[in-house]
This record gives sequence, structure tokens and C-alpha cells, in this order.
Amino acid sequence: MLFNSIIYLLFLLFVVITYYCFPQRIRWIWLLVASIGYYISFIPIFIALLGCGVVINFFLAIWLAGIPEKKNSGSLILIIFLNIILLAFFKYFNTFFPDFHIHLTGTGHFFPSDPVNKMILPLGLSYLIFTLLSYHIEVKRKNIQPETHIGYFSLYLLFFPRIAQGPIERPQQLIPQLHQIHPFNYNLFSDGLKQILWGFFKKLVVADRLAIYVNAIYNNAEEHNGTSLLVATFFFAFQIYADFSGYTDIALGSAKLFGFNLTDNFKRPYFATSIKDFWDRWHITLSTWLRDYIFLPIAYYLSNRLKKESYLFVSSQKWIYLIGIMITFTICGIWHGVGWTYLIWGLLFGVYLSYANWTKDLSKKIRKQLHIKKTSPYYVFYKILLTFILVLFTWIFFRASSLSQATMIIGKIFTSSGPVFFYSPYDLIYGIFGIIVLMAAEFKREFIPEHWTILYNRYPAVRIAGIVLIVITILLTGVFDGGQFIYFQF
Amino acid sequence: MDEKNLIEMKDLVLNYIIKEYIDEDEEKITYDTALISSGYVDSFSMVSLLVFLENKFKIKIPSSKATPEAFNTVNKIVDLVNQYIK
Repeated sequence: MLFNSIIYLLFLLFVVITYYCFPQRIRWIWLLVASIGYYISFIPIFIALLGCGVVINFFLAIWLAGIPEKKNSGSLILIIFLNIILLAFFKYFNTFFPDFHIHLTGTGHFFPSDPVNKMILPLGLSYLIFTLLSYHIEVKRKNIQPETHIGYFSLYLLFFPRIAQGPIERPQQLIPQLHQIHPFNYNLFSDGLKQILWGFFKKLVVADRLAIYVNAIYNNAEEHNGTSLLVATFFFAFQIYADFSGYTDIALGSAKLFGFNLTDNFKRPYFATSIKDFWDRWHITLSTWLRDYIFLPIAYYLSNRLKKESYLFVSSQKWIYLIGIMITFTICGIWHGVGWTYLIWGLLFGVYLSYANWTKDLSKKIRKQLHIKKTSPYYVFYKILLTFILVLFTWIFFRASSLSQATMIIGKIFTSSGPVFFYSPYDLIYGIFGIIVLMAAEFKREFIPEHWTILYNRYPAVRIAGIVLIVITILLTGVFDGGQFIYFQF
Repeated sequence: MDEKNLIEMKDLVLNYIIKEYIDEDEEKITYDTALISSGYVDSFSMVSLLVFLENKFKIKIPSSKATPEAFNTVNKIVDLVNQYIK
């Protein structure tokens, strides 16, 4: 039951209507049942795995909370190890054992669609494990008390709008909301519907339309010239953004229908003025997770160990940053998948960030010498463009099927040119149209948030006209057989 | 801690932040300016701020308490430091 399907909309409608029919104190039970039902609609057997994981982690957290803070590090490491082993087993099994097949063809009622003969990653397991790890770390640090109600704890982990692709919610953000009563809130409800609609626009009009061109080029990269590969890479940058942020909008919008506020994962990332700024705006719940639970602990540990002011004529602070950031983005790359392409994608960001950190004083000096103000519109434009080009380069590795294909594409982009390939002008035109509309909306929200408001205009006629226009655009230019979201695989 | 010392401590932290992280052409920051969530201070760079505070005030702040939220304003930073000053 993908978000971009009619059946999901019907499911959502049914769950929302019945939710508000139940007495408030038992609505969480209905949400939990709906969440389990949603998960079962994919591959039912994995709900048993998730159920066991939820129950075991529920008791592990209570056990962890009972240990004094100074003595609980070993217990936390054990809990992290158990969860990571589970994730690694499903995520990397096929990579390390490509010839090992498990035969599940006899379990027809568990796999009603396609019998599988290799390990598949249970939907949302990466997000679930990262959510669990943040929960245990916060319990270990005594920042929160463990949840003692297994129903609320299960709903925190399995809440259907966020189970498949996040956001990776911190316990402090979501668990208190589960304990609250959520009477019908018209403003939040209408906000949720608008966000869902905009999510559908991003997914159906932008992402899935661009995917047609991107797939056509990248799946036969050897056959195409550098210009077409550059255009496909440019399109992929917007495809992956519209795909993932579209999913997030539908997730956040769905949660709002029940009165819940989830954390937004995106803040107009292609208007970032630096790579650091990009990661403050892209997949925010993952980047803050990596910052708080990987980078900062490493940096604090090293800052206590590296006592000298400098090493090899470079300040120890810069070394600490370099080591911490490279480890963090290596993990970020590996989290997305095993393979050189993901690893290099992550490492590239580590290199970008380290370079910016090491040359921070130099670039400040150059800017002063040239009398360039940081707030100058030309300088801001230059920074946005430079950041986008650097990010665009990393997407080649993210999208390429192998490292050799990525290097071949880069080589072609710089050495071979020619006419842009297209077999249907409509895909190009609609694709560019989608990008323009998306970026115009983002430009407005970034630079003039108070003006030209359509969906939140004070005149109902303008709001309704905006909604109708988006619906018509989706129906006329949307792709309705585009398939799953890119981040489902992670 | 009396009011005068508290203000001195806040100024010390504020001046360090201005010197290390803020450009002259950026607008003035105050004790309550959101440093990390507004992008003035790189959340990945706040370790140097922690080291400065630990060395300056001869304290040890546990890494689990030195969160981006606790470092978001000068007032919050000073509150955190005060918890560990003997």
C-alpha cells in the first residue's frame, strides 16, 4: 500500500473517519491496529519480526534505565550491537552472500505477490532501528524516562505515516504527543490535507515524470553522450528531492489528520548556501541523528584525548572535525547501502565539509580583501550555485549502478557533448515544468514567505482556486504508474 | 552567582562566539539569539565552543549534556556552565 496509490487514500480516509468516531482515550489502539494493518499490506511475515523487536526493545530500555548512568555504557553498547546485527543481517546479507538462496516459495500466504528466493530488507527496518537507537541513547543519558506503556511504545515505533521512510523521530518529539488527547483540530486537519496534496504533486508530477528520463539515460549510460548524462543527472537531483520530500509531505500530512506533528525532513535544500547548510536542510532527522549520536560523541572523545594545541601545524580542532566528519559520513554512506558508490557519495560530503572547515579563515580573509558582504545577493547566488553543483556531482555516485559506471559518466560529461537525447518531448517539457513550479514555490517560501500565498491565502476563493489548480495539474501531467519511493529501499 | 558575575560570564561567552563564528556584516546577536537553529553557529563546530568553556571555567561538561539544544543561546550555555561550576 504505497502512499502514491488510490488504496492508500481510501485506507487513510477510512482510518481517519473511524478514528474520530472512537472515544479519545482508546484512539491510540485504533491507530496501532491501523499501523499493523498498513505494515501487513506489504510483506505480512515481517510484522512478526518487528513485533518481536518492539517487545524486546521495550524491556531492554526499562532494564537500561534501572542501571546508574556511570555504569550503563556497557549495557547500551550491547543493545546497540543487538539492533545493528539485526539490521546488518537483512541489509547486507545479499551483498556478502550473493549465491546463498533461501527458498520461501512454499509460504504462499505469507508472500501473496512474489515468492522470493533471496533475503529482502523488511520495510522501514533501517528507520525503525535508528529510531530505537536514539530512544535507548536518550534513556541511557537520562534525558528521558523509558516508556512504560507497551501500547504507546509500539505506536511510537510503528505509527504508519512514518514506518516506511521515517522521519526518524526522537522520543521527546513523538511519545509525549501519544499521551495527549487529540480532539479534532480543523486548522491542523486542513493543513494536513494541503500538505498531502503538495506531496502528491511532488511525487506524481515532478519525481515520477523525471524518473522516466533519468532511468532511460542511466540504464543505458554507455549509449548516451555527456550532455544527455548531465541533463539526466540534473533531473535526478530534482527527482530524488521531489520523491523523498513528497513522501515526507504525505507522511506529515497524514499524521496531522490525526492531530500529530512529525518532524519535517526538508527545508528547501537546493537553496543552501554551503554544504553544511545543505545538511541542515536535507534529510534533517537523519543528519541530526548522525550529528548527535555519531559526530559529537567522537568529537568530544577526541577533544579529551588530543591535548596539544596543534598537530603537524594544524590546530587539533581541525583534526577533530576532519576525523569526526569523515567517520560520520562514511556511516551515512553505508547506511544507504553496501557498495563503493554509496561509500564515495558519503565520503565526498565528508571531504566537502572538512575542506570548508579547514579553509574557513582563509575564505573569510579573501572575502574581506574583496570587500564582499556575506549578505550580498550576488554572493548568496554564487554560494547557492556552487553548493548545488557540488551536490549534483555527488548524485552521480548515488544514482550510478556501479563505481565504474559513475566514473564513465563523469568522464563523458567532461569530454563528450552532443544533442540532448529524447524520445518523447513531453517527458522533457513536463519534467522541466515540474521543476520550475517546484522551485518557484520553494523560492517564494525561502525568500518571500509572507507574500504571494496561495494555499494559505486569507481569501477562500484564492485557496480553493489553488487547490483546484494543483489537482488539475496532477491529473493532467502526473505519472500514475511510477511505482515506489526511492528511499523505500534504504 | 550574583548578577554582575552572571553578566560578565554571558559577555565572555558572547564575545567568544562573535569572534569565532560571526561576521562583522551579520546582524548583532544577543543573549537570546538562536545560535544553532538560526545557523549562526555550525552545530558540527560546537565542540570548539565546549572545549573553550571547559578550559575557561575549569569544568567538565558530560558530552551527553552538551547538546545542540543546550548550546542554542548564550543564556542556555551559561545555564549549562553554571550547573558544573563548583
